[in-house]
Amino acid sequence: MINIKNLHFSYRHKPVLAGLSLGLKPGYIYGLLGKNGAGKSTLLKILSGLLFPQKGELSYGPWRPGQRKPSFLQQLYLLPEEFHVPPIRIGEWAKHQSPFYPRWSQQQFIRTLTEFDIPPDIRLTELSYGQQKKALISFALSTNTGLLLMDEPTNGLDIPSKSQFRKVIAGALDQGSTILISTHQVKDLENLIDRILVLDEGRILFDQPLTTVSQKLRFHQSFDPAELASAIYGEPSLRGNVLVTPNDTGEDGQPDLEMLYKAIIHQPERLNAAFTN
Amino acid sequence: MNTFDIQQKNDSFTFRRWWLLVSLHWAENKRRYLLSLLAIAGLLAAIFTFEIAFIPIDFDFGSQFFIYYIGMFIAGCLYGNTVFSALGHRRKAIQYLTFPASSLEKLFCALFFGVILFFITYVLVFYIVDIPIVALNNMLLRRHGARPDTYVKVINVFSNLGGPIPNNDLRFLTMFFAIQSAYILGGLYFPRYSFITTSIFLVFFLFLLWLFIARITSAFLPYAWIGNEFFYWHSYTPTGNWRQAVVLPSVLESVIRFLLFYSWPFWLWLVIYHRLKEKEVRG
Repeated sequence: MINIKNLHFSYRHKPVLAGLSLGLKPGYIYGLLGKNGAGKSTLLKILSGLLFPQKGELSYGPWRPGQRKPSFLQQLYLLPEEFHVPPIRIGEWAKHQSPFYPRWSQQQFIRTLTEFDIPPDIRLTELSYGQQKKALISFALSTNTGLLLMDEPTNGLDIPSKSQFRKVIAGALDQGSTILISTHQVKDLENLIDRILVLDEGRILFDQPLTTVSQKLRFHQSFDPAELASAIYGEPSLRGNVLVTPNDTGEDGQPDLEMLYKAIIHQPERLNAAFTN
Repeated sequence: MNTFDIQQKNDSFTFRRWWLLVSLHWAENKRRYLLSLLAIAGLLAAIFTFEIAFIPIDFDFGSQFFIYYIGMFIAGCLYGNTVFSALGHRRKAIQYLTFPASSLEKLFCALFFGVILFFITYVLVFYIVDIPIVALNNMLLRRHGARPDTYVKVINVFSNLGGPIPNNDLRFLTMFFAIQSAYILGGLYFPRYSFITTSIFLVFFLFLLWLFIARITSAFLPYAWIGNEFFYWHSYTPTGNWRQAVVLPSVLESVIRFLLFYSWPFWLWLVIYHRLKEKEVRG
């Protein structure tokens, strides 16, 4: 369990996180969304001990990430948006790195590489950016760390690889692990995440499980101007207006993450009101 | 297994984790290191060959001494400055700092490659080049009918006996480790132009040290007192004899001498360790 209370962080005099509080439970995949500069990458860096909070509390079980104790780092894998790979073969690289991760699974690594169609005997530097990313994702999942942080993991992946990504992530989660995926590509998280977090102006603007979103909100298209006027959020499309409305039907719908994100950003009060009712 | 059950008891240093880190570092960098050693060997061979080809009469113990030390200082400081270069690049720094080893293990791994292994391999490479060059030089001297007593011997770099600056206490060697450690620290502090910036800082530090010895300590002494190193100051009579002397107790002198000659690297490594622990990846 990750507990964050009243977290503050600034770059020089520019505040990035201002009183952020959050709890992340094991067994869930969290999607972290937010505008550019909202502090998503900063939050991931603080969670992984790369930045130290200037105020507030942060703990992951018995550890404080900023201390970067090996026992904590063994339970963490951060897949950054930009990464470096050494000029050695994938198999050799994994052979030397894996002993540091006590829950490492070689079978899972080979299986995931195969799913991504990456040969294990090729040098990492000989792969394309997208292939390197898939090799790193395979490694990250095979470490089976308690906390897996991914910053824009689908950047650079082609369309088939994005669906492969969703498949392998969904298959990799176990009850002891927390996966936090930060991304701009909202669509890539569809059918994958359990809970959505939206970060804005240094605080959590929205934090709900997608099951609750399905119960409380309805995402649909309509030509009815009255429905548009009463919607939480709407925008025109070729086939009428796409709307986010309170779900009065009593049936769970399929959340449209992109529309949900826009509604959170543009109409936060009206949206949160739908969840308090 | 519960996530928190596998927390290891020792979060400071384990030999196994350190050795795994060394193996990983070697696997990732062996090509670069082997190429660097070849480059050092090539440069040493080129300098030695130039020396015996163009000025054979001057090739002696002194040549070996200067080439050995100048080569070691330049290569050692250049390499030392790159030991923590990963931390100057955001991509590498993220991976380095989140890698599951302690700061102490990371420091010892860096010192193992940057200080110990560098020194051993440099000495080996030096001798691999020096011994054949000395043999070649002596063969040329023999051909030119030189007397056997003019033949050059291979220098013992651990004693420097017979060198131009005989120095049995290996002052140059301890100076090398201190300066190299300063460059390792510089590489950690200055992500850009770190070699130049570290050099400027070192010159500035030496200037401050000189200022302290030459100006500040003398300001506390009466007029016409002369200091010699740190350890004694004296004044002369008009005829040039000692009039008065202030001498530090020999125990204190021994302690200061020891600290000055041998302790610099350890203090600098301590600073590196703390710098590693407090390092953040911003931007």
